[in-house]
Amino acid sequence: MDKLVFSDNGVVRKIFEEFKNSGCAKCSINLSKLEYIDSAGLGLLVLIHEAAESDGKAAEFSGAAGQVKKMLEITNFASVIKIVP
Amino acid sequence: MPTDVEEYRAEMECELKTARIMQSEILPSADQLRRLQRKFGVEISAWFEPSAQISGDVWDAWQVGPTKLAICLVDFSTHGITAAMNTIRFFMLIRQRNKLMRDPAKYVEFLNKALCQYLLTHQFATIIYGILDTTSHSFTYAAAGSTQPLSVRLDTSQVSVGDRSGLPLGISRKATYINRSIPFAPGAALFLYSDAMTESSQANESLIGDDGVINILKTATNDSHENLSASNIFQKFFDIAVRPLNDDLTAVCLLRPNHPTIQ
Repeated sequence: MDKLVFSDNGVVRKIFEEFKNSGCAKCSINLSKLEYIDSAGLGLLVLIHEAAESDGKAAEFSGAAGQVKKMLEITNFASVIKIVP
Repeated sequence: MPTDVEEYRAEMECELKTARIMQSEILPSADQLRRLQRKFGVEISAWFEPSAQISGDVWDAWQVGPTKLAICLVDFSTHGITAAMNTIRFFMLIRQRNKLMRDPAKYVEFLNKALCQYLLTHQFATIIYGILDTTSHSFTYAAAGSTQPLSVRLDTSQVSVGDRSGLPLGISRKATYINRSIPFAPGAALFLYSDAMTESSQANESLIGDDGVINILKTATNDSHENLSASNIFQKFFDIAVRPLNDDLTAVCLLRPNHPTIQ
């Protein structure tokens, strides 16, 4: 997936369902292949984070670069979700 | 009750058309803008273009003191009906004037707490809210993940760029915001816009981006000087942007002539 926008809602929910059913306590989502994210896509990241937290799990997002990294910085998302290099 | 798909679609289109009219009525009217222009010596022009029938953006301008003009531009995540309904909620919120409006950072914190109650988990809004002070010749603002505010000198087309980082509204009640300023003296214009501008594509499929918007503003200012307006800027924008746009487009241009007419 090179873009994350609102129409990817279903894909994101599927990712989370897989994570939930895997029995893992922690999920690391690699964003390095993602070239573009819009504001709705950022909302989907929050959705993953909140869903994980409410299920007693942890989600982290790694490898953001280019426009995606810039969007995460502008929106100060590191104060809400766990972002690692 | 509609009896078939076509009838249902026609009914929906009619409903959306009505919703669009209702939404356009919450934006500042021409009379309101003329009154602000006479009071503050600032020419205000705007561009409002939903990507569908209705928009997830909204903007407003109002007086908060004898020499202070407040401007707000908010952009809800996603677009369409849900985002448009959120603009109505937001409009109701900002029409309740309160003392915090004189301090952009505190007021944005107030708006954030309110939206945290209303918005669903994956919904949020970016905002720039600020105050033009005609005595200090500055625009002091708080931003929450908005686009960067731009101030341009009308004679030289030199652009000052404001910082825009901040957590969007509606995500965390604990979010705090800071006041920032950019110069806005007579002989300059201030340009605020939604991210549909930066995220629009050009013919070569590259995004216009932050630098692209700065270049558009410089080119429009070079051509128009004291006649600069949102229309001039968007003529230049649509010279390079590919339609249809994928997002709602909203922008406000405030121009301070060197010799304004003030009441």
